[in-house]
Amino acid sequence: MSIQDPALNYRYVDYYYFSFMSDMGSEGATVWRWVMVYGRGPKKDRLSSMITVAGTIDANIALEMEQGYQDIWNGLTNDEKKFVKAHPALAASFLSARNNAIEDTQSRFSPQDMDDGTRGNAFQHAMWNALMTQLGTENYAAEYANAHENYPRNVNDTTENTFRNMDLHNNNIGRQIATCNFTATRIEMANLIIQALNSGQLQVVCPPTCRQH
Amino acid sequence: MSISRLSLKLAVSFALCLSLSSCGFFCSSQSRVSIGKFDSKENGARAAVRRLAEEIHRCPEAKDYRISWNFPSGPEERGWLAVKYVRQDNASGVVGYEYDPDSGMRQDTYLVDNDAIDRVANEGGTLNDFAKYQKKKN
Repeated sequence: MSIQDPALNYRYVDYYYFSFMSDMGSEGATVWRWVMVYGRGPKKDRLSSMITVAGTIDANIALEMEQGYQDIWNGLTNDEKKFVKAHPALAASFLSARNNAIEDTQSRFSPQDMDDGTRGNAFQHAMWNALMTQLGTENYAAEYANAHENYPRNVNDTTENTFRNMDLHNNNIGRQIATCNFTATRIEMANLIIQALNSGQLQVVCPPTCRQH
Repeated sequence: MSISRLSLKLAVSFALCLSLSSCGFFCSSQSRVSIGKFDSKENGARAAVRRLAEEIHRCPEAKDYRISWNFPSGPEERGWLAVKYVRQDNASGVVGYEYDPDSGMRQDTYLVDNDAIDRVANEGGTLNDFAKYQKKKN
């Protein structure tokens, strides 16, 4: 990892540790695994956010391995996993950006307005990309966000494509807003994205009342 | 303390942290559990509902729960799905599928009591089986 890695300049992280450890991987051989732990000060209800990246010899084995933070790793697309392996520190800070975007969405929208395709979801995608752009560069943010949307799907599935196109659009708007307001604080950025949402710049495909209950 | 001993201590601490967090030892406001790979989407769904019931009892203070699993997918599927339960109050919440990690629920969702989660779990049911326990419809 380069010392110039933008993730090291991550302004919201209070602690950021790296370590190496050796253990028996699921493939039955001793592997070196490097571990990163980071966070924004002591969490009240969680030990820490963390992500592990296996430093194994074979990238294909690593992509198949269940990592220490299974829930996140198993939900990544193959392209996201490749990005994590290529840019582990940046990917960890992008994970933190995602958590911050979720946190900011939950504080501004009701649960009903956070379903897929709703206003809250539009805000979350734009905010996530804006924060990633501030952490790295617009190109890295775009690469990772596009990797998240690059999964096997039925290209003729109108519903699936509609949701995906909405995500891609809102991701792009978030990055543009951050590029034009690179020094904005997190609250300022959230307010800019709310303005974009209210002015119709962000796409929404599902009205707030679309939940079927 | 020498650097090597410090490194060893750090490594052991990290290993402990990893094992505790990955096995879901700690409760947080958001419960996130991956139950691994299943031979089909449906078998994963049944196991996920059972695990959801366990998680609600294990971490009753959590605000939302996500139990995800992987399954063999064709060229047109992501191979990942999650059952999500978002509390509306202490006794009830909305359950549904999440198709894209952290993008929220989509399509059929059901407002049910916590008890309904136990019932469907005991029945070996999946999401559709919550329909009969739904509290209200718009």
